[in-house]
Amino acid sequence: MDKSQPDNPDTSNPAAAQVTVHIDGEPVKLRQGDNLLEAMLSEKYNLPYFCWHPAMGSIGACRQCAVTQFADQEQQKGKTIMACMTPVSDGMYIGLNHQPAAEFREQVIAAMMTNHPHDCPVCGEGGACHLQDMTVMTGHSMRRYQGQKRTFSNQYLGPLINHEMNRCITCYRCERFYKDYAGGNDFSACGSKNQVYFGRQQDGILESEFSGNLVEVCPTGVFTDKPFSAHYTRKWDLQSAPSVCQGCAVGCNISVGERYGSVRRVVNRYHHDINGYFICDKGRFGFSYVNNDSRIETARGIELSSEFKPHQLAIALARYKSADNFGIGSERASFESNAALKHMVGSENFCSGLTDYQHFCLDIIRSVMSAKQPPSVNEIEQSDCIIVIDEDLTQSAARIALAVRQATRNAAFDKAEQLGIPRWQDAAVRTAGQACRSNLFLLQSKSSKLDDVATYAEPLHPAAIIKLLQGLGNANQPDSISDMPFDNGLASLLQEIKTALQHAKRPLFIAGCSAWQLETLQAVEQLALQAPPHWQFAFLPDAVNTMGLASLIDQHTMSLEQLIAKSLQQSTVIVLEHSLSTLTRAQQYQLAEQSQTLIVIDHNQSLLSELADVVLPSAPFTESDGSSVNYMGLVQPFFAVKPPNSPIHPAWHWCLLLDSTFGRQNLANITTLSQLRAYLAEHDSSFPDMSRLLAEQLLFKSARQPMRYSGRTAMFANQTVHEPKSPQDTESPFSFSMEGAGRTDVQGQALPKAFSWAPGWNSEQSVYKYQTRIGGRMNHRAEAITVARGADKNLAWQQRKSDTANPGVLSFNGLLIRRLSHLFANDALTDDIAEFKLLAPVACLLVNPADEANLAATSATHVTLISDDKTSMTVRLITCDDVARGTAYLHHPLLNLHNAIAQVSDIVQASSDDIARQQQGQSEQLQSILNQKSRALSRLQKRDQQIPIQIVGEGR
Amino acid sequence: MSLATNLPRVGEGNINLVQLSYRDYLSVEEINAIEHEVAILGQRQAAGIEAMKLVQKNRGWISDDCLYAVADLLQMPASQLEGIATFYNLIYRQPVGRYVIHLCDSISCHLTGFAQVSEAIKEYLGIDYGETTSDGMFTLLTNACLGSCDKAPAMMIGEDHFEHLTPQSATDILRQLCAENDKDELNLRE
Ligand code: SF4
Ligand code: SF4
Ligand code: FES
Ligand code: FES
Repeated sequence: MDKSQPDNPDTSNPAAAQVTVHIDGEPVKLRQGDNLLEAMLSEKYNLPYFCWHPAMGSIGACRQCAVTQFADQEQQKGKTIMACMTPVSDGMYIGLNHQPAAEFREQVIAAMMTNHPHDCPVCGEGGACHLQDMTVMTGHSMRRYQGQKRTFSNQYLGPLINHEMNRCITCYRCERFYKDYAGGNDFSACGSKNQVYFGRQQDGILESEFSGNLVEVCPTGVFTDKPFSAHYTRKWDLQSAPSVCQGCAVGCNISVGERYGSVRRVVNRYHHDINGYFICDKGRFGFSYVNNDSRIETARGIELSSEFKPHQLAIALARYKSADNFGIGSERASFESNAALKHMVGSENFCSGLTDYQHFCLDIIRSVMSAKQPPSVNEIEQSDCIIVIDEDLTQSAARIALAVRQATRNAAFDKAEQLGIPRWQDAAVRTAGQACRSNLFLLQSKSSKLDDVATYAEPLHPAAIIKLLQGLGNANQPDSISDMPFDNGLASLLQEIKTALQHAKRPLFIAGCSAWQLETLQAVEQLALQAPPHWQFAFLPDAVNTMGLASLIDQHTMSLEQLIAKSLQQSTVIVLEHSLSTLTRAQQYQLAEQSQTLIVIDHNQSLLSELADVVLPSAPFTESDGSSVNYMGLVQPFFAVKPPNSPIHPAWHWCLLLDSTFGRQNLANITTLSQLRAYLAEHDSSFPDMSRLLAEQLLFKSARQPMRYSGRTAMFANQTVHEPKSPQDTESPFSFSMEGAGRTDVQGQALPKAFSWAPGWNSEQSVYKYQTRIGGRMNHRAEAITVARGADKNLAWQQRKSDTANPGVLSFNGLLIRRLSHLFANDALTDDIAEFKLLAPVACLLVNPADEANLAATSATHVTLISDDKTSMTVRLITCDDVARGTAYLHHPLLNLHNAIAQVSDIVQASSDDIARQQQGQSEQLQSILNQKSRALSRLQKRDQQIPIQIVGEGR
Repeated sequence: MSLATNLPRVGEGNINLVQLSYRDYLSVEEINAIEHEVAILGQRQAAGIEAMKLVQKNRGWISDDCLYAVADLLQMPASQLEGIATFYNLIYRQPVGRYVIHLCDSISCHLTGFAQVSEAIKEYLGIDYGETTSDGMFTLLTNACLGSCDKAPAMMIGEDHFEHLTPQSATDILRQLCAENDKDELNLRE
């Protein structure tokens, strides 16, 4: 088993020398060449700033970070300098609290306040506001300005972000993030002088996948989290827990905030190797299904009181006892839940919950992974030549797309370095770099939002991509590639890539599974297995815990198809947090009808849970502890932000409870997560020993609630005058109370934090106090535990690769129709989120104009796809040459829920009736989303008045 | 902006994305003149200011449609062009009067009587900054330093600079412009 810590060093300027700088007379060691602000913050000084950002560098725009630089050690004469624009050099004498500089900083705030409204009480940023913090820090406590303030009108920026421009202090961070860092082009700074406006050219939905970061990047309340604002709580009243985004296989670290039993918001939680300071909008806004009407909160199909005892459950379930028990695991269930299920039913009876096709993909991923350790997101950013293979990263692993975008700047950084410009001099580096970019080849069939920084981004037919990959593997015959029917110039492209690879020090290939093209993945595999050692490969699986599930697969593990093919009349099938949306509706029915008993353990209703005989309510990631394994094989624990209300239990706990009835009774004496982990580590060679990760920390808890958490004693006063005991948490390093904030462990090591806060630093910027240094690792001990890479393959998957139909791709008349991958419409769970439904594309078919003639529908606005079994779907026809000839992309909401159309026998121009029906359907859909949204909100708000006193299940 | 990366969304209702093509909006002369600037500058986006000045010369101001058309022609995001348009105070994003008064409100002029001149102009025209007289003759704007600090206070109308202003001289200038304008119109009518 591979338990070694991935040893990626902190990357910014590693070798720089330490020099001595005198700050207010005290000698301190700082890193030479850093900017003084960054260096001082690394030493945990309180120096106010606005425009500097740890990931974006300095521009010297706000003048807030002023300090005095003395001429000599007499410290008599000096000048006011901007710390963020000044490189650290040996023997500097700096006055931080020196009067003129301190006063200057106070006056900078005073000037900002001439325009800043006095609206903290109604501002969503209040209590977690960098501007408030800096104002207090500089000592600016009186407002003397009597004149008029500048006023702006605000824009509608879509369902995710609020805009309140009057609060702007013109630091330019938002524009630098949105445009310069994340590559958005629907945002800019407008106007001049005292009237600078930050927003879109006109009202409308922000197009960037990273718009949510504006909430944290903006030091004031201009950009705030809209769903959070709609059901709001101050940060100091939020109970928080460190968690891991469940949106995709990247596994970004997040902190989840809860109040009165509902989850309110998600913010970025800094992780040096993965997400750094930024997450994507799916991660920030994609949690709210845990608050939805569709939550399963009671058991169905059996009588079960909320305070049931295990034996009562056994009695209730007794009539479902059958000869054989099968378990279906899931990519989105936690590592522990999957492992518990497997050990409960036994490995012969364990089905992965993946289709054959997914297994083949996974098999390839694991084979590549066993040859090549996938780089971390941070390492991806360091790459100097990236080749993305048939995957729209911006939609399937958005955080990685952001890293790829940064990687293209490496050439500019190199150039700046040659010119002697430090990396943090953002404006200067950009000016020097201009169009100078590291190589990025996007071998894709449809344009993506990375095209603007790519060396090559012309849409290619998938067959051409495969040819290129084969050509790359074939070092001896560089020019032997022939052109494909639609793609001329392949040979020269191949040559260009080869040349780029030759010059690259850290070349990287990135591939994923959303294109559903097995041949492509096989070509990548071949390439990877024979690639030189310095070529890196990152393979992105489908879901948050695909790699965790994969590591549990052994030679007995079944695919979904294999399970369905079995005769299940005498069997109980237990489905773990899976809606089986990869199957067609018919297959789902077949499974339900065939099996003697179908038990679904899940937290939200699905089409499948409606078919089940028994439904058991499980706790989503916000209410349970567990872990998931990201694309690198890193095991990342997440923690409940609130305990689940009985009879809701974490899925792994249901597995323990069901063991006596449906299992092999091996898990009989286990009741807690740590016991389960210990058992698994001992009995399953693929389950890592996680005790190192947690044991010590369990003794020294840190708090989930901030010190100012209010209303604790009054919350339940309408139900009882006794203050309920706060739920105990024996299983995690966090308490459900205010106890333990800021504690350290025995060796004085800092403890991990449930939320980011430090005295004087209420905003998320406070994270620097807990980093080893700016942009470095967190200062608490964090062992990296990984699952074994590339264990032996299940031979079954290898043998049948070639003859399995590819379920994700339809074809018609030589046209390859793929599913459109879209950040807000990728999976069934987030389909339940109103905001995402609004942001999802309308049902559409994207084709190249040259292929339009192939459809019996030239110059139609809508087409109808018809299948043999007479099912049909009408979609908008969009023609554009951003799609490769011979390929088309289909999006329809039903495709996510179950494979709504199995094959296409015809594509015709939609009749006016069809169009009318489709458009009516669409407006009804829109209306129902909006209704659903307002209903959900009022339900949650009502519940705040009557919070159920939490009856906490055992073994949480 | 590519269609495939910017698909119509459910939340935008059934609006059909209409993209304004520069060909439908700009005249051939305008397009040629802008392309000429592009050729000189080498980079399309760099021609933003010149392009808008050219179009503004013909049309008096830059409407939203003008902005989209120019952005389309220069292949740049409209938001970026908007940033440029609103940064430079000689690009007008609202209809303006026949004469646009740019009165300097920077430091030298402030020290030498800007306030009185400003009051006199406002009173004479009956408008405040950012406004246009009802007869469409004058629009009043402030301007950062006009480079006439040694002859402050100063203002600029069209391409003419007026210096050493006093409340009296400033209103005289405006009166004279009115008179000239009347004469022009008489001439036209005859
Ligand atoms: S909107 Fe926020 S981030 Fe942008 S300039 Fe204003 S204060 Fe700074
Ligand atoms: S990139 Fe993936 S893991 Fe990261 S925030 Fe987005 S959806 Fe979540
Ligand atoms: S942080 Fe240094 S000038 Fe803004
Ligand atoms: S300050 Fe008015 S012209 Fe320079």
